[in-house]
Amino acid sequence: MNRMISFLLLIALTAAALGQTPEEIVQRAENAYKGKTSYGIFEMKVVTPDYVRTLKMESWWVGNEKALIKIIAPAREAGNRTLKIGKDIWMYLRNTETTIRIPPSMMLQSWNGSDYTYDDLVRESNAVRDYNIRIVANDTLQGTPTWKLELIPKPDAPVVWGKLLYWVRKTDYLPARIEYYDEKGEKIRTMEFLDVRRMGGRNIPTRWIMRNERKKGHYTEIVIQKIRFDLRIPDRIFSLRELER
Amino acid sequence: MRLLIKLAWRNIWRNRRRSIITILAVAFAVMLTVATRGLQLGTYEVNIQSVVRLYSGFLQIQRPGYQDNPTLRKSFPYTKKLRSILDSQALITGYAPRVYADALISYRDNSYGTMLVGIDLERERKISNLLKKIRQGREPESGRGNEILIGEKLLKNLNAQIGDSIIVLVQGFDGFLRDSFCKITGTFRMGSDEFDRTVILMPIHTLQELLGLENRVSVIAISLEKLDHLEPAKKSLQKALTPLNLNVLTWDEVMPSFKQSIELDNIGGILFLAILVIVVAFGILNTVLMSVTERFREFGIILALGMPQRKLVTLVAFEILFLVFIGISAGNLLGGLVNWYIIHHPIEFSGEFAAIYEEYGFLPIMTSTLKLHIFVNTTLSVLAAAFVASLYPLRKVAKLEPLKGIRYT
Repeated sequence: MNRMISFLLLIALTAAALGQTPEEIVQRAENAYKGKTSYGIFEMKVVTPDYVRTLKMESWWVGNEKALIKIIAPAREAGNRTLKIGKDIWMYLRNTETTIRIPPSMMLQSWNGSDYTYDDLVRESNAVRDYNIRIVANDTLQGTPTWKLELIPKPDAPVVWGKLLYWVRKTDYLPARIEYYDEKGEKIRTMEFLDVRRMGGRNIPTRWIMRNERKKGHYTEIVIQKIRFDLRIPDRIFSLRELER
Repeated sequence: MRLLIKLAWRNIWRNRRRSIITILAVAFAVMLTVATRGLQLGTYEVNIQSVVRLYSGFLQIQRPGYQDNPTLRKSFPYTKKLRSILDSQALITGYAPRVYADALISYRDNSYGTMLVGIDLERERKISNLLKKIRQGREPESGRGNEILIGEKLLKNLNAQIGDSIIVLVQGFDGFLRDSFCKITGTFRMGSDEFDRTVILMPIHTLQELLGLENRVSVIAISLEKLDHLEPAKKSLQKALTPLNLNVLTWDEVMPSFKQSIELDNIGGILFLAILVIVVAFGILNTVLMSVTERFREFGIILALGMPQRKLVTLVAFEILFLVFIGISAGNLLGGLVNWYIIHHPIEFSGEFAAIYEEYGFLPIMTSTLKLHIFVNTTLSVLAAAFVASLYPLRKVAKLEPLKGIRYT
């Protein structure tokens, strides 16, 4: 009996310890706001020193594989759609009623004029597979204790960054901040996850800010207004024919 | 002094062969220097002229910061006031407003990132050769739908024909994405691979409309009569435009990489010539030292007869000076003739060699120049080399003791 208890205790301890590996922490943070499938409505605010532009969008995701994003407001751009299947992106343009496939050379260009790139949509963010991860510090961000992790790309990993710094909240394993560095160690951009709220049956950060560190005063804020996870999405909506409907 | 000059002149012809060889060495070096410098500088100038006429203009007006971060937000209004300032500048022979914008274009299954260039066709004709490079079709017209000219290679890459409409996606002045159809009315070929692959020309009003720019432009390209007017024209224009918060940039500030590739080539040329001059310096050192040591006995006797040592040194210095001067004059004359010939018969490349040149944005042509500073610089550097080379022999003469000289064998 005693032996049984100590055995169970050992398993429990091992599990707890496993939950603490840097890889586990990042994996949990990455999974936290991604379901097998999801549907959401969000508002994207592109802020520059010269103007502020607000777009409202609707999106369907199947894992990281497929996505359809539709602009629903303002009227001038409503109807423009972005379709992602694997590594490819198509833009449907309502005005000319045409579909453009984004060429590889344009992947690092801005998506819909925001601080996100087409590449951000396409990139399969498999942090655990592509990076060597280690915990570098314990930090407090927005009043919450966090782990600060350093992600260095593995050799040959298909990654454009030289280094990532990743903050994960200790309380709920949610991402808090990601800093992107290039090969020279210069900070290129910062993503912040704010306003954790219960939505779609989960606790998720509902406000994301992507700050372009190379262009002063440029950032893009996404506010999730509605989200549902793990619902059935018919596969046919991710097709070129459907895109042009 | 007169006697010394006469003596020196006679002395150099006492050993005719040695003197002629020295003169020839100097003359050859000078000729080679003048010819290669002429070829280099002449070719640069033709290239600069052609690139400047084709792309940047001699001068360009921009909003501060545009050069480092060329965005539509850094455009500026092309107003009547601005035009009247430009019209009143004496050195400016013409100017043309331009709008530059990045765009994604698509035709059927092909899409490419490109640069849209909006031009004022009438004005552009006067200052640049852009519109002379049309290969097929006709010029686009303002107000007849969105008519455009595209590079020959771009047309091929798109797999489109003249008369087809392509989709152009741009981000407008207000940040909104705008997509529209544009009709290809013709193609151009500039010779630069990158340009022919990525550039689309269209009437400036069409592009301003597409981008919601109203009367704003990205830059104003300015032409001058010649490159020598660059600095004075810039100075006077900058003074007039500073109150409008506009910058005047020269072509090399607009295209620093083009300027750098020229400079790199130039430094290579100068290094080669520096080595040549050093070799010539050793040649002079050699002959002068020979002629001096050979005549130690003679010098010893003259000194013993009472000739002041200072005068003897001056005599030898005059001899060197004569040799070098004759050499330099002959070299400049011959070099000048070579340059003159090349100016009238430029060297044109063809075939593969020409293709390599074009790829780097250079014209497949070499020409020369008769600019005075080439001759002056060459003369001065050979003189300097001769001066350094003769220091040691002259010192030997200055230190010569009469008796030692007489007994010298």
